[in-house]
Amino acid sequence: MNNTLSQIIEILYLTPENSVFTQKGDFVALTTVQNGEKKDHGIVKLRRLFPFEELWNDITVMDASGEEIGVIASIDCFKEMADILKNELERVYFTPKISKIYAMKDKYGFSTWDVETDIGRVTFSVKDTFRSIVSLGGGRAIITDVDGSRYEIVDASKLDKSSYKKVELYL
Amino acid sequence: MTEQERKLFLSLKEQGWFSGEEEPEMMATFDLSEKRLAKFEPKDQKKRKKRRKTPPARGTRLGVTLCEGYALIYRDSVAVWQEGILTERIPIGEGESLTCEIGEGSVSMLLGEKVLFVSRLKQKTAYYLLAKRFDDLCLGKEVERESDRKVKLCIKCSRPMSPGESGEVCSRCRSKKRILKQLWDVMTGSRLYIATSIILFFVVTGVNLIAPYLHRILVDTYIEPGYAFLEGFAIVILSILAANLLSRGISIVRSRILINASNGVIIRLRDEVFEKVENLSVSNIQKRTAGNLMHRINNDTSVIQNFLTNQFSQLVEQLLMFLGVGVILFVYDWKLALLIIGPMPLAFFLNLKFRRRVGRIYHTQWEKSSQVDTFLHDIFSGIRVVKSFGTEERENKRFDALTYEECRIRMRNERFFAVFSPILTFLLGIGEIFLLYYTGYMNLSGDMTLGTISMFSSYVGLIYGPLQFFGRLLRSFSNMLNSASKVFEILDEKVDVADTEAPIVKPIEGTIELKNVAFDYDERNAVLKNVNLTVKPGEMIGIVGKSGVGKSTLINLVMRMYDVDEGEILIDGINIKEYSQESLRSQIGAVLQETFLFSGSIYDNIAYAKPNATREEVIAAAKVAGAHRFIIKLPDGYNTKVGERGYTLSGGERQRVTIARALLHDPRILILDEATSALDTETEKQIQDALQILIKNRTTLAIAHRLSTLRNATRLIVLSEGTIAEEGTHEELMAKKGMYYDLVMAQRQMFSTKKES
Repeated sequence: MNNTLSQIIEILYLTPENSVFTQKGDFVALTTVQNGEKKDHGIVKLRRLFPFEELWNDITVMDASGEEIGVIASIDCFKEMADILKNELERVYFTPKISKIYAMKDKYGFSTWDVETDIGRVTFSVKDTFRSIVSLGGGRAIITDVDGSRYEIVDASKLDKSSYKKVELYL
Repeated sequence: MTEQERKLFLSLKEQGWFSGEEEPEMMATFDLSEKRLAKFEPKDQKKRKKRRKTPPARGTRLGVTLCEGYALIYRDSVAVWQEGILTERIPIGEGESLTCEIGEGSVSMLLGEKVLFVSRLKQKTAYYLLAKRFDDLCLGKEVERESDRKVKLCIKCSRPMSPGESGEVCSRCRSKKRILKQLWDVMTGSRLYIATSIILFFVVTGVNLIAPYLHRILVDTYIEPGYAFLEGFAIVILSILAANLLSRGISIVRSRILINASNGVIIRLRDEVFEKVENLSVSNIQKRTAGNLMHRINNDTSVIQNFLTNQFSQLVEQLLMFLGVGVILFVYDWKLALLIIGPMPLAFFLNLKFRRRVGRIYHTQWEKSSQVDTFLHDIFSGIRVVKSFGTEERENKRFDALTYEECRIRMRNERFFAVFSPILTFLLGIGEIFLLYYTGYMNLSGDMTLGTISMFSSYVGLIYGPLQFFGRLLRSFSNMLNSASKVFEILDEKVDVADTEAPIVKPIEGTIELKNVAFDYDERNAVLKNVNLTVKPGEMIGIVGKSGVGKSTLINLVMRMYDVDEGEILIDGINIKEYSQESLRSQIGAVLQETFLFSGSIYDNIAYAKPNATREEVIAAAKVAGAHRFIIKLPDGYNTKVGERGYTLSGGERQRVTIARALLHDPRILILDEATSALDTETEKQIQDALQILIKNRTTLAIAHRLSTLRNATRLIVLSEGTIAEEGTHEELMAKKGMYYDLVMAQRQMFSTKKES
């Protein structure tokens, strides 16, 4: 980092040494220790800074009002607490993974999908198909349906031939 | 006197003009006469006067007439010559200077309140420069000005070049041979493919030419009543089949090779044009609209590609076929060959006769189509303005009018071709009637066998293909030439802000010096005049002034978006023209009024300034710029797509992203042009405080209308009418009670009125 930027900005990295995440009801609570001072932040929100690139790294932690408390560089550092954090993130970023496409009909940019995912067979509709599929390179793509729900194709090249042909055009 | 002026002066002198005149310092051409009869009567007017019964009284205003006039400008006088006669000699007093007044349709050169000579507007740039040169002459400065190059005449037709035209000749006079040569040069990497495909053309043509000969053998040898030699018959049939298969097979290979070659050419051409446009200066690029440039890069290269893929292949094939069949026909029966080829010269003459017209047709069509593209680009870029003013209906009508006009031109052109093409085809095919008569006559008289007639018919069928193709060729060739000329016009453009032969690449400290800098955009009004300024490394200079006084121009010049017309800009004591532009701009970070973001993610946009930046650096820059706060609340965080196909950021959010981009750049010189204008006061203060730490030890030039933004500036300069009117710290300028004081007071009053309300 260039020196001047680092002088101005202090990013608080949350590590097992300075923070404790606990399960509170269905949510996650945080207590930090800074300069020997313990602070209970209550229930916190977790958000991925790079949701398309990093699943368990670079996670921002915000308090109830949305102010950032700090950043988790890697969840795996937290060992026992990692599962709590991962569960919370999976709840927030609920993205079924598509393994097979049974049918995909696109008419004037509005498409209906019938797919097999890791949570079972689902159907959904997508408005403005080209704009709603974000291709992330390496065959990965995120599809956002009319309601805002997301579906992920982890690697299009690993789909069966018939499924691949249905999405090839949009990737 | 410039070289061009001297040439003109000497050649006119040879023709008997300017008797007794010495070589002047400068020379001007004019073409309008507003003189009264008493002072001046052009030669032809004198003749006309003789014919009139009652000539007009002396002093009668003749009105504005066209004339051939020249003004010889000396240091102390101007001699005005019209139609070979010295009409006036006007003395120039000490301290008097020439000025140029641009009117509606005409431009006048003035000396004080006296009009020296008048011309149509095409001379406006020349007169403006003339006045400048005269000032330089009186001041004893070097007379040749940098902006002399802006006055450009076509060396062939002497017409002033229109904006956007480049090179030595205007687009009308551009040589077709030269365009074809340039096209050939672009083909460099694909010539082997093209040569291979031409060889294959030879093979295909050869195979095609064998088929009619086989037909003759078949008819004459095997199709005879009572003759049954089935083995030989089968061999001939199989040979015809084999020739056909071979011809098609080779054609497929040849087409694939040619498609590869033409695609290669187009990719190279597009890359070259894009690279060229990127390297042109801002002023060069702004001569054309974005729609026009896109039209050239996309449509015109596609037209060339289409010609190379489809027409060029056919051209070679048909030409070879024409020559092959022609030779065979002449060898077999030269009279018959003459009958077939006879009408060709007439068709050729028709083609020649209408060549220019067809060229013009495609040029007009291109212009209209480019206008539609430009309009669409304009409207879609400014769709917010259209909607906010509720002018959708008006724009619909404008679009309708443009498309209707384009359609009308197309229809007119198609009507022309609907008549032209059938006439041409008829003329080219008329030989067939002669052929029918001739072969029928020969057969009846027993001089020609049925097999020979069949062979001739096949060959004639083969030769009419090329003939008809040549009839259509003029159309596609003219279209391609027109597009190629538009593409090469860009490639030929001279880069006016260019690097020197050995540009300097080095880290800069940040001292900026402006010495007698003058600049104008359009040769009409000087934007900056004689600006002198020295900024030490680490200083923050606030630039204030009313709108349009040249604040943004000043920083554009420091970034070398344009070159100064006069004076020089030095960075660390070296003229910025000596630096490599890439090296210079990589050390200058700018947050401009236009907060432009590229299509892509927020992360990509911030990291644009430093592609190898770490995530930590990007996040830190976003935090300083106050962008991190809103980014983390977006569902896709830093991966959020902006621009096309993406999330729409607000004005303030866009501005924060652009500030982050500039901060990540870590420049030695930071330029802030209304960088925080779209932010609320609180956010602005936060960013200003952060910036305060950041700008420490780096030279900063900041423009802001909200004067409180510049409270941390080391010095302030007030620009007025293109010059620095006041300079000093906030306290010094307030004490001076000048322009700055007035600006501050006006703003305070405005804020207090707002608070009260």
